[in-house]
Amino acid sequence: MITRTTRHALIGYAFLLPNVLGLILFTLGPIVFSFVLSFFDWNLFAGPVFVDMANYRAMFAPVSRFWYYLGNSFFFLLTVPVQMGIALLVAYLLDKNLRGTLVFKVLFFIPVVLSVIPIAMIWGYILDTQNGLLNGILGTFGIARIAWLFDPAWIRIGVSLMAVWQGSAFGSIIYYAALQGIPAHLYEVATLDGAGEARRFWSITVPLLGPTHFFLGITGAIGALQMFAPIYTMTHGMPGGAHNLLIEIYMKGYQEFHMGYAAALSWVLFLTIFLLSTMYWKNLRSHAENA
Amino acid sequence: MKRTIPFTLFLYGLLLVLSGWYVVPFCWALVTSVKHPGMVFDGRWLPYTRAKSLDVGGRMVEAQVLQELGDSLVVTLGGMPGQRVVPRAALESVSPAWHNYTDAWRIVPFGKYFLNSALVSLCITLGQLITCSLGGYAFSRLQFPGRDAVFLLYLATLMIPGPILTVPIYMLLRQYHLLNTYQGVILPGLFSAYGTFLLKQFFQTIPKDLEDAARIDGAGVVSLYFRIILPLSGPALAALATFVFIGSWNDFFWPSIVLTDPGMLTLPVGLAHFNDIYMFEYGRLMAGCMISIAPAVLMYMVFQRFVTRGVVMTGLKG
Amino acid sequence: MPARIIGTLIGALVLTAALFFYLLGDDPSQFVNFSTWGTATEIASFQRLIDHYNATRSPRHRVRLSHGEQIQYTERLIVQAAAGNLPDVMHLDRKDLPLFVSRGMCEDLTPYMERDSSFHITDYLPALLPGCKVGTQFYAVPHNFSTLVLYYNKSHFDAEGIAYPDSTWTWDDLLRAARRLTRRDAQGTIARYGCMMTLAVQTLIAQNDGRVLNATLDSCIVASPGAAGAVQFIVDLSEKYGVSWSMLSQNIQWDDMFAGGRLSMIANGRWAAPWYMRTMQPGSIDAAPLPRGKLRRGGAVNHIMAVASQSTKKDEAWQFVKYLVSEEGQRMLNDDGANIPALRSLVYSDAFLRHHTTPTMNNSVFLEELPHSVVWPFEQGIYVTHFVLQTQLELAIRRVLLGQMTAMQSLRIMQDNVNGVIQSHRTAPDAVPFFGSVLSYVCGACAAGLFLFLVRRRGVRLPGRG
Repeated sequence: MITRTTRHALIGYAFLLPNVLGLILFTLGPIVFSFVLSFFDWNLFAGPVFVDMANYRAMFAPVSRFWYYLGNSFFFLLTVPVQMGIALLVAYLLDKNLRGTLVFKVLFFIPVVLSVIPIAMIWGYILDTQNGLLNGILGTFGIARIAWLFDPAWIRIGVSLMAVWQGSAFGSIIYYAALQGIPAHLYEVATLDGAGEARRFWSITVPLLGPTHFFLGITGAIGALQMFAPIYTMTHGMPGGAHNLLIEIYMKGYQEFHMGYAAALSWVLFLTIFLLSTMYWKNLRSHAENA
Repeated sequence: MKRTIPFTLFLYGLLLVLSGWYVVPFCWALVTSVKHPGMVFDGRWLPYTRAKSLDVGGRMVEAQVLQELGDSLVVTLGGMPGQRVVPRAALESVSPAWHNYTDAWRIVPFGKYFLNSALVSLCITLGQLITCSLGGYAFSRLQFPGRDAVFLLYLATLMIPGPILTVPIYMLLRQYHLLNTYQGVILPGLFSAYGTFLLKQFFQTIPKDLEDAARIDGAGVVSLYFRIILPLSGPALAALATFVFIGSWNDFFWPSIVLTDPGMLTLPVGLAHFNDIYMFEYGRLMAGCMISIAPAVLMYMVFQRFVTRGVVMTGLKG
Repeated sequence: MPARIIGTLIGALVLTAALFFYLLGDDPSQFVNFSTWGTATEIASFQRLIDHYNATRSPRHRVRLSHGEQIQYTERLIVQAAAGNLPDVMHLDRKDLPLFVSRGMCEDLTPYMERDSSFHITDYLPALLPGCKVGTQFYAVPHNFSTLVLYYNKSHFDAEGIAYPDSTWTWDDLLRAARRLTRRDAQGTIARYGCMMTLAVQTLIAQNDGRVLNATLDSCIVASPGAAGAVQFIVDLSEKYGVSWSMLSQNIQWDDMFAGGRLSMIANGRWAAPWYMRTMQPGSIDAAPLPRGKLRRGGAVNHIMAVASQSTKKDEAWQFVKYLVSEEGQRMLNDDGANIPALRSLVYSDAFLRHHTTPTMNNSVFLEELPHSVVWPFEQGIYVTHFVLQTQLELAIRRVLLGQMTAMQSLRIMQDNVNGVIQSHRTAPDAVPFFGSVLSYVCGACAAGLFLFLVRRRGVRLPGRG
């Protein structure tokens, strides 16, 4: 006899079925495959050879430059607070309901809807050494030309500029929406208490946006640690100082055809992201409990 | 609340600076898309065209530009010895090359790519709305063993680096003859941990009382989903649909791997094939880019109201 | 209300399902699959050719076009080969052939040629044949090519009173002319550049008696005085003499600069000729051979047609290859002027020599440069792809441009990097027995953990009960 609980469970599973099927087929299956693959040597021509931990050992050998690539992955985490700051500022300004906000709103959000190729073309021009917009502006201040996308020392900064440009536009959509949800009477009370604009911003707006900071922070960080398309397209596959772990995975896998090694690298990157996210989550929760 | 005039001006100033940061790159792309070949990288903000001949005493003489000197040009005139300096305005005039757009439209089968993209994006959007809302409902409202474990697993998939999944999925699709089909592009896109997460957050904000009331009337779990949850989630679904649509419209990597038939390419992939080393006309290329992003921009403009409302209601608000 | 929503949902589901079944792909094995790359125009022209072919053949010969992006075309075919999914007929670059043949991806076409009395390999330009062979066997048939030439703006030369470039030009002549052609404005900024040789880097290395790979294509030997001299020359053009554009800048701008009269000489392929002719005043542009270094070397892209050894329709594939390189196929290819056909009778006729897209240009230069040409833009090893080599060389040049080290030091780094990749493929790893490996312990621990978990779970009530 089917009890109510079992029936509930069955319905629950039925609701989850499409999702779980997709998860197994297109994520879990491949990820298990890649986990197994990371213990093999496979160059796409000869059949895979079981090599146990050789890929992992090779990863931590000095010639692999693993720590350098990982460091570059972490560098892009710095873009997250910057883009969140700009996004918050934009959302705050839009929320002031000045005349013409609608026009600004549409303009500010354009970066979000652009696809990879137009973005790479536009930013390739802005950051160009010889004729670029940015070097032109810097030139009027007497700053010498910088090879933003060619000098290994500067590529990280160049790519970050673009990432902040696009990321902050997305962030401002979310922040703007979140600001709409803050009840106006809170501000009115604060104004009656004599709080100025800056004080209201720091004591009401910023703390009340807690869940939004969290959401943008965690998705932004995961995205930054996995940054790929902007780097690859803007540097034409020569990322120099922006050579992060994901670029290395792609190059080892699809250009040098060391599939097993690429799989091992992906697993290490995955574990890194997973650990960091969990720590961030835990840390935030304990803060919330203490408060 | 009253604002002082200087403060308002300050706000406007900030807005203008920030809009410069967002809009100038886009404006540059727009201007470039109507620039003439040979005049794209002349360092000016307007699309200039340069005549090939010059009016000398009522006679049109072939003019060759040797050098640009600020506001003037050094030229040689056909059949006349020596070089002369003429003002730029004598040869150059501002005229947008609208034909870049018609040329791009003629050369690249945008109409076909547009339909392909629309088909793929609509299927993915529709599919994700179904799978994510089902999943979100199960995670937020139903009780069954293993629920939280599956949900954590789901969140963890967000952190998996994409490239490593391509080879196994590619082999899977090949096994089922799905390479070079639209299904091969659509299927992997139908499931999204992100969307499920978003909708679960939203469903949790719907008051339970409503369901309790309906349950007393004898409604089961399934009819609660259709009668209470879905009708109340319009804005959240619209927000998700907008993000998914724009995302899949712009997706490049996966379609470029699966689709090989030139008649089946989606817009971004078709555009990338247009952009290779045989292609010299930067203006025309940019015009192609502008055509390709137009649908996503329009979609955003129409739905941005819903996006705002949807996000407000998904519990990300303050 | 609920009925309406349920109706909508069911409708949507039915619609999606219908679309899915409507769009179900055809079984690829019923076609002869032909893969190529190229611009929308080139694809359209191939499609016309295929439509014509399909209309006149029986169904089992029907050809289907598949298209890959140019930049990673080689890599894509390798992944397809691993998946057992190689197209039957492959449009390749000659640089791909040694790699693909060494991996057993291409069918030996020599027997097909011998069997088929209607096909004569001698109909094609002799200079193209070595690129179709590995050892003594033909693995491909020549289809088209493009040689690297020096385009120059005649009016700039006339105005400065410099003689036009010809086949006697050396690097010194090039530099001398470029210095006179370079013009600066009052502030000293360059308003017109003398020359742009970046696309010819590998050819310049060959001219200076340097090589990137050894003759058997399995070792990098780029750290030689010849290659270092060529790299130094390229760097000096922009950094020391200021006659060229720095390679630390976007390359998409050169053609536009040349067309706009802001650049006097540019090394580029045949595909640029029709566009230059259309955009500039036709009388003001012509093509000359590349200047020579210690050796006379040119650069050529040779495109060839190969049949996949995995193919199940090899005879049909061979028939289509024959059609592609037939008089009819080659004439259609010749039409846009961007590629030069391989058929000897066609290129030495007015159809090419007075091509309708470049009637006033010295078209025979493109043919004269072919016999002494090396692989261009970049060769490919049998253990490393051209993409790796090209990336490494560009990075090496950047290090010199940024003043970080000498050309020789930089090329030595490149050589070590490339040989590292090669070594990692040459030495096959030893297989490790599974039992006793770390992975086996991990699997064992996981299984034990799962077992314990299930045993402990037994006694506990399932959550959500009651």
